Amino acid sequence: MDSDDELEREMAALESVKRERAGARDGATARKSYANNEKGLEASLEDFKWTHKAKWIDHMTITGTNAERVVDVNDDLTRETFFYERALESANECVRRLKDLGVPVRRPDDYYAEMVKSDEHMKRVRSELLFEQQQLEIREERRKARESKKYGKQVQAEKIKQRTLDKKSQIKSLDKWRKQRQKSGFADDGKAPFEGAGGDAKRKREDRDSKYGFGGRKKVRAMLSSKRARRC
Amino acid sequence: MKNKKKRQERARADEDALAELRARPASALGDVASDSEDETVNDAHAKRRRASVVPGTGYVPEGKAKSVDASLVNKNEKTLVLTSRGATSRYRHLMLDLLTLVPNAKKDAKLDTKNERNVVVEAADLRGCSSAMFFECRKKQDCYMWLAKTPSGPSIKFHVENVHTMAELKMTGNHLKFSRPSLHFAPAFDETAHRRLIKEALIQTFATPYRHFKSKPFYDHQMCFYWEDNRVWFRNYQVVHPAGKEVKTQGLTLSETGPRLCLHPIKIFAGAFGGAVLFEDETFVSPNAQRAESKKRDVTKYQQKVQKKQARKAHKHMNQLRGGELDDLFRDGDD
Repeated sequence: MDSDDELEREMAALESVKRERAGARDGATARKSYANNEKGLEASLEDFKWTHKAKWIDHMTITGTNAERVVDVNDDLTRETFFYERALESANECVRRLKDLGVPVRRPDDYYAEMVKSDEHMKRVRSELLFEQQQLEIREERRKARESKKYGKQVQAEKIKQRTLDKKSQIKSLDKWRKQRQKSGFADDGKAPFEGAGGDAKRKREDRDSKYGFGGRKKVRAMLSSKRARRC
Repeated sequence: MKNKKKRQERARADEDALAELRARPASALGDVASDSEDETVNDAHAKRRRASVVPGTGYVPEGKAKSVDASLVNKNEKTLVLTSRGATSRYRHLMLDLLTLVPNAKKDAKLDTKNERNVVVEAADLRGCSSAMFFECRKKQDCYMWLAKTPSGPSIKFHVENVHTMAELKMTGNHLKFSRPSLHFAPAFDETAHRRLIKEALIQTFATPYRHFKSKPFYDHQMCFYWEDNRVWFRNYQVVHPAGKEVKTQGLTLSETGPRLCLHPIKIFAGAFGGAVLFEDETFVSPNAQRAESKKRDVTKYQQKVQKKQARKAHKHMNQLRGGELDDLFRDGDD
């Protein structure tokens, strides 16, 4: 019993110490004040600024009029399009002002001068772009092939199903033909053609007959091809 | 007879041109411009150049240009650009990129010491610079940029984040080296005192003085400064003028040239590289603290894992299956 009490007291002491420490830490961070001396800032700005004296052409600064802000700065695409649009607005404004002043804006086509990026660098940029595009195309092709394969499987299954259905119907029609013959007492002597068999087997026979001949002399070509077939 | 007449006409035209030049207001002519005036008086080449106006392109040779009323207050504005020793390649490239964008910038050798920044002020004074841009790199990973007006201040200390240099291949734009840019600022820069100060400092360093001798007379790129998330976002776009048939259908387009960077202002000092602190950003967490925090998080992760394991072990130990009373009822016993 005594040992339990002791333990409890110890735990309580530990908790209180912890609380004190945490409090001290929070207090320290809260106590840290951040300077924002607006008067000092204004005075300093007055000291060194010259833009109020300058004409616009001296610095060509345009402050945007659209006070919208980016909704989420971590969303790269929307942020960059936002930046681009604001930049474009002020570029147009700048061109307008320059034209008003009669300052040249566009360089003539035969004006060659050093650029920020060398030709070699631009070549690399272009090849990189091309490469990316090719990669994209290849990916697209692969995707299409994959999909067509998937689709091909479906088509194959469909075909097999159709074939079994055909087979069934043929067998049915053959049975029907037989029964009819039986009913008529075999009056046609087996000469009445079976109409149902228009399928593969018949076509195959006809093809072979035309190729190898049906009776008569076999053609040389046919012989050759049959030889070749045997050799294989 | 005819030739004589022509000669007289030409002489009269020249006189007119000279009179026009003299009548131009002196304020429109800076150092460079006044040099070119002397040239135009004597130099036949300059005369020929003046005569070659290119119609349709908007290009007017300097001599013939309408005189633009410029105050030229910033004609002697110059920026010293340098890094500390131990800068990584990325930040060195960034510095070089900025040098290709700002014609009135002077590069200086790496600074050996990180703590005595007053040396920069001296160096700027020696090079005749009115401001300094100092990239201070620490631990081979963190970069701080000091933007200071020398010698009397103020100075701003930025933390440089999210740097993409021009050498990266995804930016397709390109423009003339040292053509004069226009500077775009987001309206948010005018809202508070410290942002106004930052804006002014940025204008003074990045604006190319009118008729600077290194600058080129066309407008084909734009530097943009946005204020988002307590940071200055820098973008540089090429301005693509529509050509040929496109002129009527579409206006300007932009294509990004680079570099990209984000400047997080930490402190603003009254002096150059020191002095009273005028502004301090609350939201800034130093990269050291960030790293420490993430490490701490990892530590607790491991602790949690170990604790869980121990708890599981204890649980198993406490809840062992005990044999029931009837366990050996059906066992073939010895009895």
